[in-house]
Amino acid sequence: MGHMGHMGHEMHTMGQVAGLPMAERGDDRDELRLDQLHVPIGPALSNWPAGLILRLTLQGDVVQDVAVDHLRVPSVHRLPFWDEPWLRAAQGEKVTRDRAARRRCAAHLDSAGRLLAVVGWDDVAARCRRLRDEVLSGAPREGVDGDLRRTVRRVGRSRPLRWSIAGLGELSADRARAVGVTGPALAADGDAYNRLLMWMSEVERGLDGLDDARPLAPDDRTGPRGRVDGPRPPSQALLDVLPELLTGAEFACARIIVASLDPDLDELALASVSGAAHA
Amino acid sequence: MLDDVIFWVLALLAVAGGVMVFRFDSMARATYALLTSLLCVGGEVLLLGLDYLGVVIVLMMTIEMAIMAVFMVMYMMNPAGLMPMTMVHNKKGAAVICAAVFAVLAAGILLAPWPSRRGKPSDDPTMDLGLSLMGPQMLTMMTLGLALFATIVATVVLATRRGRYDRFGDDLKARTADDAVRGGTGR
Amino acid sequence: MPDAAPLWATVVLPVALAVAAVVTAGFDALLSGSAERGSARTVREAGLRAVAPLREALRLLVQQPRRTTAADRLLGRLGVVLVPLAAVLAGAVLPWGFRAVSDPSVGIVWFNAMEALAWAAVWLAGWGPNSALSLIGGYRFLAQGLAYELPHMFAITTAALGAESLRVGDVVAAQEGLWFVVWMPAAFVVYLLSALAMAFWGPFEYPLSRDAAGGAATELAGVDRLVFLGGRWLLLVVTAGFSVPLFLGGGQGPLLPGWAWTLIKTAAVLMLLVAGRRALPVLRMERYMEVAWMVMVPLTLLQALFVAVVVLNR
Repeated sequence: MGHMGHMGHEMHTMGQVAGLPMAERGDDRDELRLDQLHVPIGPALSNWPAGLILRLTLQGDVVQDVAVDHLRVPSVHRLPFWDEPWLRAAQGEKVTRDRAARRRCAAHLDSAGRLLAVVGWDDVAARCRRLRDEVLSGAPREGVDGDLRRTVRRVGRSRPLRWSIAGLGELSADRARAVGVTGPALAADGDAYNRLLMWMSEVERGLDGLDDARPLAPDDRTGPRGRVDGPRPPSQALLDVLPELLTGAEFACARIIVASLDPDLDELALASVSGAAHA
Repeated sequence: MLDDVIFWVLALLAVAGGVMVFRFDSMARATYALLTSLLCVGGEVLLLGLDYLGVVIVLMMTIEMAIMAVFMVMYMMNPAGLMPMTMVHNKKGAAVICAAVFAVLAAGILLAPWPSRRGKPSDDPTMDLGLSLMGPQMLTMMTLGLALFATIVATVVLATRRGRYDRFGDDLKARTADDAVRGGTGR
Repeated sequence: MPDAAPLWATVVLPVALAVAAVVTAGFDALLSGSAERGSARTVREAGLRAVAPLREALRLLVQQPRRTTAADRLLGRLGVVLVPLAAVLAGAVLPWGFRAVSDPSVGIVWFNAMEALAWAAVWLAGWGPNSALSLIGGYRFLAQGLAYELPHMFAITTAALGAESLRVGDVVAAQEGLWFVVWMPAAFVVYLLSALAMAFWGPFEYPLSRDAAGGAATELAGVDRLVFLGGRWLLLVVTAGFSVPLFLGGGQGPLLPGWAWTLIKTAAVLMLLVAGRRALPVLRMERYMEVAWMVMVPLTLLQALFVAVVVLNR
């Protein structure tokens, strides 16, 4: 392979080939000058926050730069699904604890299912989704309790899972608070693995709220992704924190980091809705 | 008869593959043209009855060319040879040198006074070939192999920008290495 | 002990491998179905779930192929076709009982060389469509190859060392008293892991994993996709099946004939792999690479050393 070792790049034309822009060069993490490739991911991918677009600048496998963008959120007068119980309660409606607990459990199972699917653990991802549907459809507590606890335990006990995603997307509580993150991502105070465990423990805790017919406590305004009565919707903070977590990460980690935060683009319509609620 | 046909088919394919390395303007195609050529050479060696060498050529060359493709991708991110580029510096010179070497070797093969066969071919030609190539020099060869391997390792060590002091701190006491990407053994 | 197989075996081999691949895929679909929708209540439901891969295959047959801009169709196609081809060629040295389609004196090296073709194949399939995600999938497989190939080679070399021959028939014959798995357990485990890696399936699905939107197979549709993914199942069957002559005594066993033992052992290995896959997420190469080089290479070298010492003192 001798003469192939030093590949002659007798490049003549820069610009476009077949209507596609060519890669340009730039400095990379390891102080080399390499080609940069601009790859958008999103808005529609399986196991991806619908509507989110990340415009990545890749050098080799490393994300050098990222611009967070999203499709325009339609301004319909419908509350974002996952935050609905808390928003309705804020608007003065009567909402049972059962309903809020179900919604929270289902939201976290949904997020966990997405993260586990991206990590490639299809079996548990499928179980999470089945349980999500069962919880949402109002299955009685006895019906889901055992299955749910088993799944939570299985995730918590898996050493290969921890080995695989620990250390990705490290987000300390201080930093999270500074950006305005409020939900489980703040409480987790750590990496993607900690956030997954936080979801799972909230799911387990949420089981106690199932079939509880009392009304939601007036000070409970924390939805699955954070406080819904803040100045900004909780997912906005999650989007804001994305660039710093993704820059310098390998492409392979990028989707795991996004899935471990799991912003909900529907919430971005919340700004106007909650404004109305306060008024 | 069948052997002759196979020989000529493989030989022509090998030469054609070699020529195509110069003709293709995509790195991937040139790499795999070279691989085709080398696989045909492996086939010729099999035809000589040197089973082990032939199959090992197929194995090693496939892996080698595949790894070369990684380096290609590492340095430029234009998939599918979007950017037409040649694979060789000094294309004309390289082509002339290759053609001349080919001609000299072919002439050598055709003009050499090959001895006619005495006795019958051995059961294990690979073993015989190895013995006649380096039988008395086995120790030298083994030492040479080790030296080559040590050189490769030393070169990589010298070329690495970050050594263990960068990774584990000046007293080498850090529990986890300070790497851009964390590895799997938790060191 | 080994005999030459009749000529018709050459025709039967791909068919037999394909049937085995469909059965394995069906078993996998059955397990996936029970995770997604709860365990099947009736036999009919279970049957319907098990034939899901066949339905998917039919769907792919009629699906339109996808074209991408400035694709290298020649290389892409080559990569797709090479996957099943490499699997069948590697399967040629797989003994069925005590007979293989071909039992050359360097069968083990041949098997390894055909596996190496999969390296080229997956990379080509990823490169061909001119898409960043599929290219990422393609070179992930090379990273995976670098991680598994050395431990894998040492593992199969250990078996060859134990038999003092590179002929698969001799390796089977050498296990008449004691299966190699008993005194080469490390090599066996490493072999099984690398068999999965070679078939880029299950925990080693990384080149096709979902974090790259399907990796090397992202842009494949229709027949291309069927051939590529079907070839992957073939590779899985062949690599798992090769562990039987290498470590599990091939066709050796009491009462039943050799072919039956081969079938039973191969099915057992495949079931173990398919069921074991449920317990693991995809192993990411940046983590696995270090384990492969820091743990598995030394481990297989020690295993080979142990076997070499035993063989020398025999």
